[in-house]
Order: sequence, then C-alpha cells, then structure tokens
Amino acid sequence: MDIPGMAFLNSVSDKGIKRAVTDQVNDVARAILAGISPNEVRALLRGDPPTEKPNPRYRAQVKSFLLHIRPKFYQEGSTWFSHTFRLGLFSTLFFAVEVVTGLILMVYYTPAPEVAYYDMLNILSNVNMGKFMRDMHRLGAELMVISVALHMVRVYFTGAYKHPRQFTWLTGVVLLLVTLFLSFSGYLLPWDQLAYWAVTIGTSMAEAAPLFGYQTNLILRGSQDIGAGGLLRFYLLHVFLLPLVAIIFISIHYYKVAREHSISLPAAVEEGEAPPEIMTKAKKKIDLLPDLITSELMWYAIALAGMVIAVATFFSAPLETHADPLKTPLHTTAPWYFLWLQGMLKLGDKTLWGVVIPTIIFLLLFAIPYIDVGPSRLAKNRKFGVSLGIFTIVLLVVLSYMGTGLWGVAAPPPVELIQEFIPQEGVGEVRLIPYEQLTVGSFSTNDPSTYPSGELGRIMEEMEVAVTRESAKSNNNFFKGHMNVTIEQWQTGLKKFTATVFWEEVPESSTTGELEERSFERTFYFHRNSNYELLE
Amino acid sequence: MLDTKILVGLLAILIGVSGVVFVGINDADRRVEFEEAFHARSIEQGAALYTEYCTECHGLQGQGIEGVAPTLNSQYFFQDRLSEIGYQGSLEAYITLTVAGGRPVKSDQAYPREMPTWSVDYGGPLRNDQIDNIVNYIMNWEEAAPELPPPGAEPTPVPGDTPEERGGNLFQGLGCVGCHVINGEGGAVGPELTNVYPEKGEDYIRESILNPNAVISEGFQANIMPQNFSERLTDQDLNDLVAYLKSASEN
Repeated sequence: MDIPGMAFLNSVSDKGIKRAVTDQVNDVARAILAGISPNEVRALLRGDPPTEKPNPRYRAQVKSFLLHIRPKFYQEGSTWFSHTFRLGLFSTLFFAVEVVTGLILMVYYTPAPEVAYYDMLNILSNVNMGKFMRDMHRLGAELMVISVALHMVRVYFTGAYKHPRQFTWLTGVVLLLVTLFLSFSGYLLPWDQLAYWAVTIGTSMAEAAPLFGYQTNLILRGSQDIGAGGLLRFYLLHVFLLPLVAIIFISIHYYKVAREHSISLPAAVEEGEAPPEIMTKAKKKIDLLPDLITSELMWYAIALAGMVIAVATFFSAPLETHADPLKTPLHTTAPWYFLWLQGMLKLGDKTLWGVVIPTIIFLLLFAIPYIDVGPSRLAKNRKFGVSLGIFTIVLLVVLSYMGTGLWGVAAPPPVELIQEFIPQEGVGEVRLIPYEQLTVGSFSTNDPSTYPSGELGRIMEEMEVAVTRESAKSNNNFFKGHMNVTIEQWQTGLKKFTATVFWEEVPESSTTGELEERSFERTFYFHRNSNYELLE
Repeated sequence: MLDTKILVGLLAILIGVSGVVFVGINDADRRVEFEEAFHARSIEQGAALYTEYCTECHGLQGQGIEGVAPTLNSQYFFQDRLSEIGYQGSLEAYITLTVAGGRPVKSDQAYPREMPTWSVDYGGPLRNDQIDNIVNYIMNWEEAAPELPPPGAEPTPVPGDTPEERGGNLFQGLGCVGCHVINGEGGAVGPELTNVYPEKGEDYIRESILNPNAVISEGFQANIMPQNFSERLTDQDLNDLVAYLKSASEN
C-alpha cells in the first residue's frame, strides 16, 4: 500500500536524514522554479555557467508560462541601453503599476456623480495610504504616456519600423492611442472641475466630427452633457474596455518581437557599417537568464524606487473643487499630452483642425512603414525621414505651447490680475499666506506705506508690479489701475478676503474716448485649517 | 557586471521599500491633516454659498431678520432648538434636512415667507455637497454664537427718549434699513423713504407698514416686505416710525 510520505521515509533509510532532506528541498524548489535547482539559482546569481546538462535555464523557458514568452537569448547589440533605452520595458512596468494601483483604487470608488467626489475625499483623508495609491496611479499614467511616446520616437529615428517590423509598428501605434485614451478616460473619474471641463472639451471635439459627430458625442457622454451616464461610460472604458484592448495588443506586439523578428540591432551594426570589434560584440549571444533578466529587474527596481521617492516627496495628483456644469473655470486646458490638439483648435475650424487633421496624422503614423519602404535604416540614408521627424517634434512642442492658456486667449486685464493671485481653481499665491499673517484691514497698491508686514505685504508688492505690467501693455484698455485688498474677520477661524481691481477704460460705445471707472472683485473665504499646501 | 546590477537592484529595492514604509508611518497623521483641511475648505465654500443664497433672509452673519427668517447664529439655535421642537437627530441633520427640503408645512406664524427647497433632489438649485458645505459653515458659528433672547420672548422696550429717536431705532432693529434707503443709507430692495412723508402723507405710511401689498411702488415686487407688522407693532411703535420718517425728510 502507498502511504503519503512513504517515499521520503524510504529515502531516509537509504541515504540518511541529511541527504534525504536536501534532495527533498531540491525537488520542491525544482517544482516551483520550473526545473531550476537551488544550486542553479546560486550559479545564476554568481554569473557562473549552468550546473547541469542539458542547460536547465533553457528548460525553464519551455516549462514556465511566464518565461516561455521571452526569447532564450538575445544579440547583445539589441540590448544596449543607448539603443533602446529599455522604453518598451518601462512602458510594460508602468502598465503593471496602473493595473495594481488601479485595482486597489477601484475598491474605494463608485462611478456616480453624487458620490465620486466624496470617494476621492475619502481616499485622500480616510483610506490608509490612499493618497499614495492615487499619486502612484497618476504618476504611472503620466510616465506611461511619456515612455510609450518616447518608445515610438526611438523606433522612428532608428528606422526600426522597417521590414520585417511593419506590423509591429502598426500595433504600437494602436497601443499609443490606447495609452492616450486610457489616461484621458481616467481624467474624468475624480469628478472635479479639472476633470469635468477637460473631458467636456475633449468630447466636444468628437462632436465636430463630420457625419457621425453628434452620435459619437452622445454615445461617449450618455446625454447632451456629461452626467451620470457619461461618468459610468468613461469608467467602464477606463477599467474594462481599454485595458482589455491594451492587454490584447501588448500581447500581439510583444509576440511579434519575441517570436518573429526580435528587437532590432543598431542600424550601423545591421548594415555592416560599424567597426569590426563592435560588430563582433553586438552579434554576441547573451542569455535571458541570468544576464538580461538581471538588468531588467534592476531597471524595474530603479524605476519603482524613483516613483516611490517622487510620490513621497513632491508629486501630488491634483484635486480641484466638485464638478460644476454651470461654472466654466478660466483657462480650461486639456491634459498636457493633448495640448497640441487644443493648440490646433485655436487655428480655426473645429471639424478641420480638431478631427480631420488629427485623423490624417494618425493614419499617416499607422502607414509610415508602408510608405517609407527604403531598405536602409541608417540616418544618413533617411535624411528626409529624420528631418520630418525632428520637424514634427518641434511642431508638436509649438502647438502644445499654443494650447496652453499662455497663448492667444487672454481674458481682460482685471480678470487676469485676479486670476494670477487668487485662481478660481488650484492654489495661487494668496491661499498660501499663513492664516495669522492675513492682517484684518484694507490695503491698496496706491499706498505702499499701508502694506502689512510678512507674506501679505510681499504679495501686495507683487500685485503692484503686476498692475504696472498690465497697464504698460499698449493694446490693453486699462488705465489708472490699482488693486485693493480687504480682509475681514468673518467667523471663528474664518477670514474673508476681497481683492478688487479698480481701473478706467474707454467704453466700447464711446465716440469721444472719455474714460469710465470700472471695478472687478473676487472674494474668497480663508479658514485657518485649510492648508492649501497639502495638495500643492 | 552581474554583481553590480544585483547590488544596484537591491539598493533600489531597499530605497523603494524604505519610501513605502516612510509614507506608511506618516500616513495616519496625514489623513487627520487632510480631514481637517477638507472640513476647513468645506466651510470656506459654505461661506461663499451662504453669502450668495442665504443672507437675504437669514442675515449676513446669521443674525436673522425679524419677520423674514429666524436667527441661526445664537446660543438658542445651537443649544435649545432641537429639544424645543422635539427632533431626535443631530443638529447637522436638522439643518441639512431643512436646507435640502425647505419647510413642507407652515411651522411659525412669525415668518410669513416659507423656507424654499434648495436641494436639486427636490427641485432646488444646490447640489447636496454644496448643502453640506453650507451646513459646515453654519455649524462653525457654534463656538462663538451670542446669547440672544429666544424667539417669542417679551420684547424689550425700544430705547430712546423722543418718538423720532425710538422710531429710528425701530427702523434699524426691525431690519427696515436692510431694504429701504434713508438719507443715503440702507439697501435697495425696497423704495427709498427719505421723502415719503412729505410726498405720500402719514396715512399712506401707516397703510404700507400694516398692509405692504396695498400699494406697490412702480419697479418693486409685492410680497417681499414682511406682512405681519400689524401683529408685531404697538400703536406707539407705529407712531414712532411715522415720527422718524417725518424727521428724516426734514434733515
């Protein structure tokens, strides 16, 4: 009769207790590590050659699911950091960070307008390490957009999209789009002013699409305006559909690289133009286990440590006030990776610049490897392609600048002045003044002798400079301007802060050019515990 | 080469884990800080909302306006109001409910205007988070709320030695000045009264106080002025007010 453990007892009687236990441990380790023994692990970490024949490292790559996706060995040239910058690896890492932190955040989040914002406040003020998770998720998203975009730039400039990698490039462009939309769909979920208006602008672009624009917008928003339906749709896109598409296309993309054509060698090596000693070195085989995997794990650890340090010290995901469909904040901007699109929209027709041209740009991007069929990957043989690439990048930077509030759409000077110091959303300088230094009283930039000491006095001086600056601009209808600040004790621990801009202007209807007095004010209340530095 | 990578990797892991531990250790304190900050910001926003929507009836500092809406900023409201009406919930809940739903039934004859519904749930203009902000702002009065006589208490005699002086004090105390301008002072909700005595005469003044809708001046709305002065004013008060308006036109 076979009894569990009988085999072990037999081996104890055969080989003695010490040997039997060692063998048993070895067997368990091999079962877990896809056939790699503890001895072999030691050899791997030391960089020693394999301890057994056939090579147990290659065997592991057949037996282990996670390892079987990876090639057994690489040509050294394709793994040089200066060639790929490990950007594909980093993109994968950031995607994984998003999945893990996203799953945790999902536990505390309800996609409904009445509660979404409360859930954000709860995550920040009540969930253990909730702010850490949210900041990691946000930072991971930004880094993923950056690394995916840079990955594409690298592939473009090294000509790695050429034969036989055309289709891999195509799936990569799909992944770029998925990354952008993943990030953008997550933008709405906090249900604050930033989210609401950025997405309103974004979806209104869809509305400008010819023929089916109205329907697209309706499908995205769930109604005429973004509301409960829109939030739920964006949530489902963000946590289900887009990640699913991403996982499918990452799999296709990586399968092509791993099984069909491998990572490209540097162009000079591939085309035999590198010096002979570099050629030999580049074509040397290096094993995934342990050489490359060690390097990859090192970069993972460095990137994660960097993210943790950033989140622990300076990086904070922003959270503005509750979404309000009735109040459009001044200078609403798209997320930074869509600023180029917002810049193009300022050039003219919404349908042409917001839909038709971006679509053409992405179609061209998809088609690059099928248009540029020249065989050489070397930059010197692709002068047009490389110049076009540099030109496009410069253009994107310029368009992005045009997309910010710094270009083209200045509000009247008084509004800009107030906005500069007490923005509707976000923090601004005034909200950072310590509560005790908000001296009760009235102060005017006309009379610097009344300035209180401390931060408030310093900011009054800055206001004076800003008023002079606005007055000096020749095209501003803004004369004899000055700013007043009034601070009242309003409630226990609450002060009322009123900033008023007084100026004179020539009314539009005026024929004589006579000046008329005007004023514009903004009031806000300042509580001693509101601590605006927390989300800065 | 491998050694260096393993070493650097381990170092990075160490730094990363220390970072997480550092965040974890400080997180409880941070959460308290955030909770405090969010409450404070809620009060700030509540202050702005209160000023926009509530001051017209409850006064700029919650002092209430006689005949329009009750005082909120008083010890009575924070200490005794709930036990007096026999409400079992918290004061926050009471305020939230009243702001959100308004007054469904007439509860107090002293205030002819009904509290309207404010929540979007009941057809009002405010979201529920905005109502929470207003409630937090009102609750922030509790600490320094003044001791005021409870509503319905025997009125203290109007101070002043002459009819004109008493009338002037009544004009301030009843809140008339909130809506009517006299000699450049007062609100613009109702018509200016500086010259009402010589222009319209004494009877007109008496009628307009006791029955404000009898004649509505051009450009103003009916039903804004409290309708219950006939119950609240003695004959003496009425005479004093007329005397004050007469003297106002002579200045």
